[in-house]
Amino acid sequence: MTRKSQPKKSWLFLIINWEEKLMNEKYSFFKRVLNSENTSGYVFILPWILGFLIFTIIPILSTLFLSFTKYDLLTSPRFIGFENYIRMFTNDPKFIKSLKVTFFYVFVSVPLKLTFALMIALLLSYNSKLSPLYRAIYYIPSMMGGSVAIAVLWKRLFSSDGTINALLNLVSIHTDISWIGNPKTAIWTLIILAVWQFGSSMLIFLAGLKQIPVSYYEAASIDGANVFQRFFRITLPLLTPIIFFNLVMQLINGFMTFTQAFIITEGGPLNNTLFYALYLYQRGFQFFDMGYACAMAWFMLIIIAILTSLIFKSSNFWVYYESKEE
Amino acid sequence: MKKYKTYSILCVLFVLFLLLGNIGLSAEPITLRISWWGSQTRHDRTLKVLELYNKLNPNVKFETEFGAFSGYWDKLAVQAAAKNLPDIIQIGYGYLEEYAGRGLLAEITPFVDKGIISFKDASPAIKEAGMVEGKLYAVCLGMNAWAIAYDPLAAEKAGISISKTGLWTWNDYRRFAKKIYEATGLKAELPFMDEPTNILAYYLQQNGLNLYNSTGTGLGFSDPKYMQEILEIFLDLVKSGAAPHPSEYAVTRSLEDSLLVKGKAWLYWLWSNQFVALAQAAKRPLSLTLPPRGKNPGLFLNPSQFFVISANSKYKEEAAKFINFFVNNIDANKILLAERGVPTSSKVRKALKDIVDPIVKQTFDYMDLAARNSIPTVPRQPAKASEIKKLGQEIFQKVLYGEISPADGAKEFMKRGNEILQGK
Amino acid sequence: MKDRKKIKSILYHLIVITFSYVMIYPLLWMFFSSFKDNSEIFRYAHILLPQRFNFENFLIGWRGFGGISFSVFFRNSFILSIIGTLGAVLSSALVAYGFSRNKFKGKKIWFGFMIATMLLPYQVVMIPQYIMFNRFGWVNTFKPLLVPSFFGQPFFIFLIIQFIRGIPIELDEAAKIDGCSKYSIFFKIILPLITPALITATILSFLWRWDDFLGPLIYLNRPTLYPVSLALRMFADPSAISNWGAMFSMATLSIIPGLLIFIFFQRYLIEGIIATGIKG
Repeated sequence: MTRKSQPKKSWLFLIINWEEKLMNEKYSFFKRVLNSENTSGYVFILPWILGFLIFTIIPILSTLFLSFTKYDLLTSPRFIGFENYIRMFTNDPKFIKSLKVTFFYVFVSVPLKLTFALMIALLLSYNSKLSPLYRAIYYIPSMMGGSVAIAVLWKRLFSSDGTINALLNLVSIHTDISWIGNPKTAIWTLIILAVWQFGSSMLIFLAGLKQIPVSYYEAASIDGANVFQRFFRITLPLLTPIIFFNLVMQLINGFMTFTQAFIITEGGPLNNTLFYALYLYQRGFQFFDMGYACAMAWFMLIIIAILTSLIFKSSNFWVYYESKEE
Repeated sequence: MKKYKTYSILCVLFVLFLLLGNIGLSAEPITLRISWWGSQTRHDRTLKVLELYNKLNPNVKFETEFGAFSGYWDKLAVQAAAKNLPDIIQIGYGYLEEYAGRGLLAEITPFVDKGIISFKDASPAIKEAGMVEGKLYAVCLGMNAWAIAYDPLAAEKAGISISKTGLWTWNDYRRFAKKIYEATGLKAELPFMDEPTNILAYYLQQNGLNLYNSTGTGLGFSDPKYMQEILEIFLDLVKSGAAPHPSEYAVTRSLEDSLLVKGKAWLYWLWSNQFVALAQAAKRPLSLTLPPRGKNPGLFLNPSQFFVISANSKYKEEAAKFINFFVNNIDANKILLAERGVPTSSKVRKALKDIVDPIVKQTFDYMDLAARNSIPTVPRQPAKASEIKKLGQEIFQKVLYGEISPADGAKEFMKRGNEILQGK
Repeated sequence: MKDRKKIKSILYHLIVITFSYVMIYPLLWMFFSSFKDNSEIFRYAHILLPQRFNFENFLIGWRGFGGISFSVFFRNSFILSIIGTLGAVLSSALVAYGFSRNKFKGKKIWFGFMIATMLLPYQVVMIPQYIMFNRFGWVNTFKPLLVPSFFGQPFFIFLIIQFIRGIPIELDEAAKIDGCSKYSIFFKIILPLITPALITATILSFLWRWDDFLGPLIYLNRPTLYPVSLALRMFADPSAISNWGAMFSMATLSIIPGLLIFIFFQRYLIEGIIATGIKG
């Protein structure tokens, strides 16, 4: 690790030295060019531009091209026009199912998660000595939630002889239902897992709450507003920009959910947890159906683009911006 | 002077070292990549055999890639795409045609002709099993067959005796399952829920049919009633409680986590080589018997796994040598202990008979029994078999969960199955 | 009055603590299960504490599988997380400065692209990236997982931009009057000032890379290259696992590096998350 970091470091110093040399009057032309903001801007963002072209743009365009082909990775791609896209909607019940499942998951788990995050944030906004500790405890699940360790744990908790049933047994609810095996409950185990990770959204809300001037509440109290009125009239409107940010990020994350379904439910039972990203992976890397998988990827991109633009458009109506200095 | 002496000794040593080194390295040092799936037991035993081979052939080193079954095929598919397959690959029968058909595997015939790989102690069927369209691609590592493991004490308690030779009918199967459930509360596990096409194939073969047609371009049967019948049998058992709810199987679980091991079930369908692990985990005496009989035998002796050589391998001949060692060497097989199924070589079998433990012996005996109740050929597994298996799993689940009727399930399977096989 | 306040406060803490307990119960359960043997995990699933603390699971688990111990997997995870993080954070800092303190032609467009890639699902680039890296001969090396990180990561670029915006522009202007170029302003003035943001990015990047699963799943095929996440999944494979205690012991170990980092750098992490969210 240190070995790799050193050339990087000396490279930085080289730039500084080189740059200082150029500062000499002799090189005034270079100096002017290099120091014009047009150049310096591009110099700084150059790494990203390169990465963007190589690792994003070229692959995206290749995905688009491949989505019009039949491609099994071994023989060269064969152009088939829109066939993949047509097949998605006319002759692939699993694709439709995966869309439904993903939409259900996203539209249930994201609002639930944000509601929880907001509620707990409100609870924790009362300062006490223990606040940092509470904050940490509530945050930890969201830090580990995506890991394999948690996925494996979840599987154990919700199995028919798992901890959840054992605990229910204690309060004399006797059941040996396999929460993961039951088509009706399986998706909920994943939703619970998502909601359990409300920590980072909570932190953002917490910070937002702290920024609301106390004077607003004082004024409202004097006017005789009760707790609920204060919440709905002051807190919520002022938090809308943060809700907006959280919503966009969580929606996209929701659509990309893979590991949890891959490990915990394997897409089952009855494909009831066959998330879009999981089905895409199966199509590409299990059935050698790369063209189709690429078509699915592009369709996913379109869905996310539409959703985000809808949210952005709608934000004019519900996101409240205080007058900003910028 | 002294210095000179030391120098000369050093020089002599150096020359000797070079010479010795050269002798030792007379064969070019190579590294073979080898991959397999399996459980911890298999990993440990296979690694030991690789060690042994390396000791005997110091120029051959191994780079191993192993894991569990579930992720194995994904990885392999990706490597195939990268033209980066290991030299030696363990492959299942259902995947052989797919990989051979894609031109990913090397033909083995030249090595058999040269005598590097020997089939002389194996039955001709073993060699044939590794052939795709008349060309030999794969070497079978062991034989297994479908079987039923059961708890004889549970049957006894319900006053039922199950013949070791499995002379029971499907009706008996249903009746026994219900009776034992009533008497003991123990269930009969659903068959092969991660690959339920097995039970369908079994039932079809009993009716003189096959799951796939002979060209691999369609299903081998046109009447949905067979699938409907087999679905009805198990749906009935699920409904009556004599078989567990399908949700128990929604998530793949190990043998060790099965209801039978946990003492909640009395009957378990399995591949015969899995019996060793099952019996050890169950910690109570279990018996093996043939599945219910029909008009014709439904079993076949199945090549459990194969080793194949990838077409992109640089060391095909060395790979072939190792495969031969793996299959025919007695010391190697004394380490492996039939963990991949009953060995194909009669000599190896004879050598193992005396040392294998009683449980392994049970599987050996079962294989003898199965051999007498099998169809003569190994049914074909077309290139799209893996997709058909996924479809079968989906349909079985839908029906057993009560989402659709057995009749509709059978029809859907026929329709979509044929579409997949026709490459639509 | 005072009593009522006290009762209220106690009630508050009671509620918060109860709920905290529910939140970390799964983690506690995993932790304590790593000391239990199999039968105990199944039969006494409702009892949190093990009957006795049995460290054997850790020894068995550490052995890993097929002769490769978890020390190899942990080493791989550390290599991937640390190098990848260094690359991502340093390059992102450069780019962030470029975007936030330079006016150049096409900035708006590039910035738009940058934000758009933040919203881009990995699946869209996954397959061609695989084909490309495969052609480079990078499959079964760490390169496909490390090299792209050196080209800036939009989320961190965004995070650092937000932070730089909080630094008074007067500082830059003063430096400029003193004869500093854009470059020396970055290295001499901005870089030291954005250390908190860099630490935040470092922590987040480390945690994400540590947990990354899909990348290694696709690119690494040799067990000796597996990071902990992949090893854990192989170790915990339903068709192979028979020792849950050992599995949970390794799962517990696998979350410890993240936990330690969190405990030590909590302040930065929380501030960083807040910064991205608030000003977004």
